[in-house]
Amino acid sequence: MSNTVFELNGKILTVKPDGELDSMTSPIFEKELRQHLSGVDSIVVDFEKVNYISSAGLRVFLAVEHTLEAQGAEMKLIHVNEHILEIFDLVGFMDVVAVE
Amino acid sequence: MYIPDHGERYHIIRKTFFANMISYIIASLTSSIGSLIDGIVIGQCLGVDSMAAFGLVSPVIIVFSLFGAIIASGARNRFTLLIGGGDQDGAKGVFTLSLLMGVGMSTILMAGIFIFSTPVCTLLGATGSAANLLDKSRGYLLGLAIGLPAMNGVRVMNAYMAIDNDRKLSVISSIVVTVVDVVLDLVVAFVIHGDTFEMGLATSISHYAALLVLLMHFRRKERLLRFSLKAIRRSEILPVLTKGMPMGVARVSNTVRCILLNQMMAGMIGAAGCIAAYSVQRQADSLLNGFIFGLTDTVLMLTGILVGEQNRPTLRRLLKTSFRAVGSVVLGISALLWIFSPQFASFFIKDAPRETLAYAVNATRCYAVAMPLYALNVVFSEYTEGRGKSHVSLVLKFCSEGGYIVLMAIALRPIIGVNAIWVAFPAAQVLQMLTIAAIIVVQNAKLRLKPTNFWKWYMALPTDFDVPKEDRLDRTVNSHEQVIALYRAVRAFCAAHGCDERRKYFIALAVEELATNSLQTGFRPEKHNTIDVRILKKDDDYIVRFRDDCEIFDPVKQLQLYDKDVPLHHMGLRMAIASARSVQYTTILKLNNLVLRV
Repeated sequence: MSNTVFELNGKILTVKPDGELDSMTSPIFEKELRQHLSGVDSIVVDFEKVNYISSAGLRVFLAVEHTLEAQGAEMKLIHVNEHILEIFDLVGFMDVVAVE
Repeated sequence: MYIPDHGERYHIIRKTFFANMISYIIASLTSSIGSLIDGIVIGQCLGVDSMAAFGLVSPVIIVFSLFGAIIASGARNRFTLLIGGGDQDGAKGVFTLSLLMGVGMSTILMAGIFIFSTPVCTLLGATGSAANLLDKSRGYLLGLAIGLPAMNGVRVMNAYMAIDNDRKLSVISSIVVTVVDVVLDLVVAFVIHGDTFEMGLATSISHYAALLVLLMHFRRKERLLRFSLKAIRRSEILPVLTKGMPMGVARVSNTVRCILLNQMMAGMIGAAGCIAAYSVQRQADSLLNGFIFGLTDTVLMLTGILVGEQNRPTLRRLLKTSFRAVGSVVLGISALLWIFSPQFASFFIKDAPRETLAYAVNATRCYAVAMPLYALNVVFSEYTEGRGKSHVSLVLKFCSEGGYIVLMAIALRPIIGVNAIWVAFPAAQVLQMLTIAAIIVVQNAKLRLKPTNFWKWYMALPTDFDVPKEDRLDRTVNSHEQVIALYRAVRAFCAAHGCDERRKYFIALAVEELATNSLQTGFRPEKHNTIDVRILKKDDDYIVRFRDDCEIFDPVKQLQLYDKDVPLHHMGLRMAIASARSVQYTTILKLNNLVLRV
C-alpha cells in the first residue's frame, strides 16, 4: 500500500490509508506508520478509502495501539464502513481500539 | 486474474492417488506372499494328501471372502458418496452397518460350517476315490471357519482405513497377517507336527491379530469412523449390497472362468501341461494384480468423493492421473514381466517338459500384454461404479473377469489350439475396450452431449453436473502472494455475479484468512503441500471449499477452544467462519476439507 497519506498537524497525525489492508499490504503500512509515530500525541486513522481489512490489518492497529499506550498517546479510527465495523464488532476490536 | 498452478506434479489429487496406490500395493503384495508361503509349507511339510485337501477347500475361501468383499466395497462406495455430499452422520451409519453385516453374516456362516462341515467337504470333492481326504479337508475347513468373523471384519475395516487417514495401519495389519500366519505355519509343521486343522487355525489366528491391530484405529478421538447404532439407516442396507455386487460378480466370474477353462484344458492333449501353464498365468495375476487394483481402487474411492462434491475439474484430473499411472507403473511392470517370463515360469514349474515350459512362458507373456489394457478397463469400470452406476459396472466386471475370456478361449481354440487359453486374456481386454467405447458413445448420446475433447467424451457427465464454468473459481495456492491474488480474484468473481458488498467482503475474507491460516499452521514447503480452493455460485449460495494436504487441523474445533476472556483470540478464524451460514470440516485421505456456505 504505497499511497497512504500522512498529515502531521502539530502533534496530531492524520493517516489516510487507501484500498486493502491485507496480509501483504499490512506489513508495508505498519512500517510506514511507525516511521511517523515518534513525538505524536494523537493519531486519527481515516478509513474513508479503506474497502477491505483482514486480521493482518487489525493486528497492525493492535500493535501500534500498544506502542502508543507506552508513549502516552492515543489513536482513533474514523469513517469506518459498515462491513468493517461488523468485523470489528465480531472480534471485539473496539474494546481495545477507539472507533468513531 | 490468472493464478498459475505451481505444478501438476505436486497436485493434491496426484499425491493422494499415488500414496493410496502404494499402500494398497504393499498390503496386497504382502497378502499374496503370505498365501504363497501357506501353500509351500503345506505342500512341502505336510504331505500330498494335506496339499490335496488344501486344494479342495481353497475355492471355499473365495466364497468366504465374498460376503466381506461385497459389503466392504458397497459400504465404502456409499460412505465416500455421503462424505462428499456432507452427510457425516449417514456415513457413520453406513460404517456401523457394514461392520455388523460383515461380522454378523460371518458368524452365522461359521456356525453353518461347523454343523455342515462333512456334507460341504463331500460336495467339494472329498468323496469316491478321494474319500480319504475327508478328514483332512474337514479339518482345514473348520480351522478356517473359526477365523471367518475376523477375516471379514478385517476386510471391512481395511476398506475405510485410507479414507480415515490411517493408510499405514492397513499396511501394518497386512504385514501382521502374513508374519503371524507364516510363524504359526512353521510352528505347526516343525514344532507341534500338526495337520490341516492347525494350519487353518493358524490362518484364523493371524486374522484375529490383524483385527486387533485395526481396532487400534479408534484410539484417536478425531477419527471420522465411529461405531454408532443410532446413525444406522435401514434404507442403506440395500444400497450397500447392490453397490458391492460388482465386486461379488467379479470374484464369482473369475472363479467360474478358471473352472471352465480348466475343464476345457482337461479335454485337450497334454492337459496336465496346459493346466500347469495356466496356473502360472494365474500366479502372475495373483502376485501382480495388486498393482492394478491399488490404482483402480484409488480411482473408485476418489471418484465417490468427487462425485459427491460434484467436482468436474478434479474428477478429470483424477482420471488423467490414473491413465498416467497405467502408462508408467503398470506398463513398466508388464514390460519387466515380459522380459523375465522364462525365469518366472521356471520358478513355478520345475523339471517340466520343454513344451509345458514354453506354454507357461507364453501364458505369462500374454498376461504381461493384457496388464495395461486390463488396468485401463478396470479404471473405467471403477469410475462408473464410483458414479453410482453399479449395474453398468457389474456387467463390465462380469465380461472382463470371466465372460469375454471364456468367449475368446472358445472362439480362438479352433484357430490357435491350446494357446487360446492364455491368449484369451489379452483378447478379452481388447473386446472389453470396444465395449467400453460403445457404452461411452451411448451415454453421450443419451445425455445429448457434444464433447469437444477426449476427457469430456470419456467422462460423459450430464451438463448439470457441477456448476457452469463461469459460476466457479478453482485455484491451487502454496504461497502468500498466491493467496492475495486469489482473494482479489474472488472479489472480482463475486462482483461479476452481482453479489452484494457485504457477502463479497466476507467471502474474500474467508478465503484470505483460511488459506493464510493453512500456510501458517500446517504448511511444509519441503513436503510440497498445496491448498485447493474452490468457490461455487450455486442458486443463491456461495460455497467455498478448501482442501489441503498440510498437517491435520480442524479450525472449527480450534475455535471452540478459544478463550472468550482473551479478546481477539483466533481473530482470523473467527472472522472467516462467523459470517458463514454453515461450516463443515472433515479429514479424509489425510486431507483437510473445509466447506463454508456464505
